Amino acid sequence: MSTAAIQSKSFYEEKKGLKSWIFSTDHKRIGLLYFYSLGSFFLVGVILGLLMRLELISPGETIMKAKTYNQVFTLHGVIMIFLFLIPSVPAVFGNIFLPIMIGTDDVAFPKINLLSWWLYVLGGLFALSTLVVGDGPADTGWTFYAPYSVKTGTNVSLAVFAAFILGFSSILTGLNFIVTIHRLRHPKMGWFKMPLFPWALYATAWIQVLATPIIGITLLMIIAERVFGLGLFDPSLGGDPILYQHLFWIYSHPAVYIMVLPAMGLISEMIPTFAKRPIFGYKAIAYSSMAIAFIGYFVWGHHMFTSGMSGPARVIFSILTFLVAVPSAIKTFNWVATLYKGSILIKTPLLFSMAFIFQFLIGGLTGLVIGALATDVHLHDTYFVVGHFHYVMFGGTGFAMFGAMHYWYGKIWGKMYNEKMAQISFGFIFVGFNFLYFPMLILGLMGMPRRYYDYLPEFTTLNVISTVGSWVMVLGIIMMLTNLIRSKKRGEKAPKDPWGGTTLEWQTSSPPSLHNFDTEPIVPEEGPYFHKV
Amino acid sequence: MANFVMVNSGHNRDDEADKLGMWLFLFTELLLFGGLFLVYTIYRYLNADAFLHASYELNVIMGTVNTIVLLTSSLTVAMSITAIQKGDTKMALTLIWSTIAFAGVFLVIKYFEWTAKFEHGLFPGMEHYNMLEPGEKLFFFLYFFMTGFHGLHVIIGGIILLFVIAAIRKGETNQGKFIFLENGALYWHLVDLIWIFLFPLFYLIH
Amino acid sequence: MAPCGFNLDIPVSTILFNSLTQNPELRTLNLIIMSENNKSRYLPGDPKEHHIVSYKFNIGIWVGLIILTIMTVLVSVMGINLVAFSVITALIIASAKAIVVANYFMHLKYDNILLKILFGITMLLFIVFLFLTATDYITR
Ligand SMILES: [Cu+2]
Repeated sequence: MSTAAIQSKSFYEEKKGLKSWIFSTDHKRIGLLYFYSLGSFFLVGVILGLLMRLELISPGETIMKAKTYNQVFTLHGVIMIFLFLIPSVPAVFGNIFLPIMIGTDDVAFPKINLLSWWLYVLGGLFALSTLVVGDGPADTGWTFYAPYSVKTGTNVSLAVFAAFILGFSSILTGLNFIVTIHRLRHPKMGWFKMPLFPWALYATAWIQVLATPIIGITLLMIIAERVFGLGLFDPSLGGDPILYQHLFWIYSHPAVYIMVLPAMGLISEMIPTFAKRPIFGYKAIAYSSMAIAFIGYFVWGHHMFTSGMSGPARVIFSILTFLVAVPSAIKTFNWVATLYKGSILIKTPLLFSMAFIFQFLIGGLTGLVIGALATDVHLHDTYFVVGHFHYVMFGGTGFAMFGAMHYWYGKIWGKMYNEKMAQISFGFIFVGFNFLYFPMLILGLMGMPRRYYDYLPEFTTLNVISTVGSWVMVLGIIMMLTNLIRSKKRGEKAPKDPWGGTTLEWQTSSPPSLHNFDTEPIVPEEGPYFHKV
Repeated sequence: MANFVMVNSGHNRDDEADKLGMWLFLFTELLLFGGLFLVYTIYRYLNADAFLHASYELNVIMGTVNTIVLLTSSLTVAMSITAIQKGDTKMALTLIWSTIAFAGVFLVIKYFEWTAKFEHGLFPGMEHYNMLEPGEKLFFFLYFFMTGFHGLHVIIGGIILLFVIAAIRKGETNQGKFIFLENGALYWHLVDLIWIFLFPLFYLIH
Repeated sequence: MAPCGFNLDIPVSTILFNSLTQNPELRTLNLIIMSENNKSRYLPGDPKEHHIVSYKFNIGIWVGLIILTIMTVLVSVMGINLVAFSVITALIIASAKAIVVANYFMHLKYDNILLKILFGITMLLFIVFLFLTATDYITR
């Protein structure tokens, strides 16, 4: 077959019109549908976050009352976790790139893939409908802790049902990816010839499939309690609220790995491309993804150190928590080792990746501080925890997504973004982010509790810094999005492989055709990252 | 326009992939009930006597009969796969219909059981229920929630089997391609599998 | 040729599809043909052919399950004074029944070994959930 294959139409041009999108079973279109819907929810979440920061710019009531503040942080949490972070990387980049990276033309169950997007939209609508129906959005926090969630008059049932539907959507995505990776890899692509992003997705998919049902049934129990007005978890009626917390965290701790593992996969793709070196410790990274997924199931109790769990159980969970740090550290060391002595090409995706490593390090190490039983007793429910998980979730997953948006911009939209603008906006986001969240760690150590609309006057300075940081960061995000949107029209045409990447997505045109490959993809013998040293 | 054959295309027929997908779905169902079994275990541990006492209200004979009914329905649906593999479509259809019939019998017996409880006012929120001690309340809440949720799965399983029957009639499911029947049967066995544990845990605390 | 009517031997189908794909316009058609008529994809590790479980064997399994059910009822009704013992026996018998159903009725025994492993991992995971949660309650 000649290399000058007939230039085929890109997947955008095959069919047109709204219907060809919202009923499309093409994995790339579904990925883009997810991208746009997810992006919209993300912006709503950001606005809610800005409002909270504005409320906290000075002590006392600034722009909202206590109850409103409670509702705002609950909605912020529900949107950011269930509608943005949990689907985020797998649903967008996983959908678009998993089949391409393993050299096939679609996922195993294209129709189920479409169904999971529809469920996602439905769940999102349910979550947003709590804003307008009845007594307003839930004010319980995204954890819906019983018995308060059973007693409050706000729209908990609707919010909980939304989370249930979103869980279903997440399960279907996970199921689809597992079958796809098992059955549809290119015949020459053995398990250890597979790039690390699919590996991360595979590990994540197992968490999605095996952990999500537990929260599903727990949420149904909460609904049943509310409907029949009883207390399955209410101590005054014989129930045990700590059992609710167990069930909730059996899912929700593994869920943080649903959020961060695929992001780690993205970093493992970007680092070798821009360091122009094969990734250091390929197998170690692949195995550590699986190890994180596995050990991650057994550490949930660290969220309950101060809620009345037994002493021995707390010690056991604390020890197990330390174990899960090991595979995360393995990954971090391997990324740094890949950069060492590489001929580094400094582009925006790499900048985001390095920021990821830096911020994930802070997030991870502060995680150890609160994973340790003794220190957690002091820091539980303070701003230290808020700082910690924003460093992991936003500083980690968020930054990896921003990086991937630039890394694959040309591949997805067919144009190149403006590098200079992208680097400037990266600067704003990075600086703003750290000014926003680092003060929270200090505030937490000083003893400022989380989830209050008010605070003592001695915390004012750091809160002001944090709020100003949020403005800088949002400015950066607006600049970044403007740049990306403008580049869709004005950017140069993207070549097949702008960065010298070696995985299969760079062998096809930008953007790819409907069936992904026009010529047989060549799976390199040497493994997925074969940069000559 | 591709000019090569993609052997690993996602659009090819792949029965094993369908089966793997079905099993993954069954895992999620098992863990869904798993969460309930977890709650049951902890509360039974905390309220052992109340659970024992409350379980005397349940009818062991009806429970046993229902267990046998479900096991038999599992048998007929398993035999329907044998039938279709042998090319005996008529037999396969009869066997699936009888599975659905057993599902109906199961639900009818369940209905009588539940009505008896309603007459005693044992449904959560009713008079008698409200006077029970906390441990017994938990028992009946779990009893109704778990058997109700299981009953819902019986209904869903029956509906899936109706679709299987339609597919066999249309010839889409046949001797050469019967993965849809296999997956429908897998779902049905799952319903049975869960009942195998529900039965001793609720009816046989003696 | 395989026993069922739809199957084509591999060489024949390869030639057929190669000739089809010479014409790029037929690519989509080709996909349809492959999905409708071609035999199911085979990968290493898949069962070579469908094992047919005879009616007789199925009924035998059923009889075994019924016997186990009656046993568990009898143990429970007769062992009134053995509360802890009867729970454990009931659970052991239930697990035995579940394993039989999974292996024979659900064909795990004849399927890809992968399914068995995954099933085992799932069950193990549930037991660990149960065990770790119970640790909290037992040591309070
Ligand atoms: Cu955690």
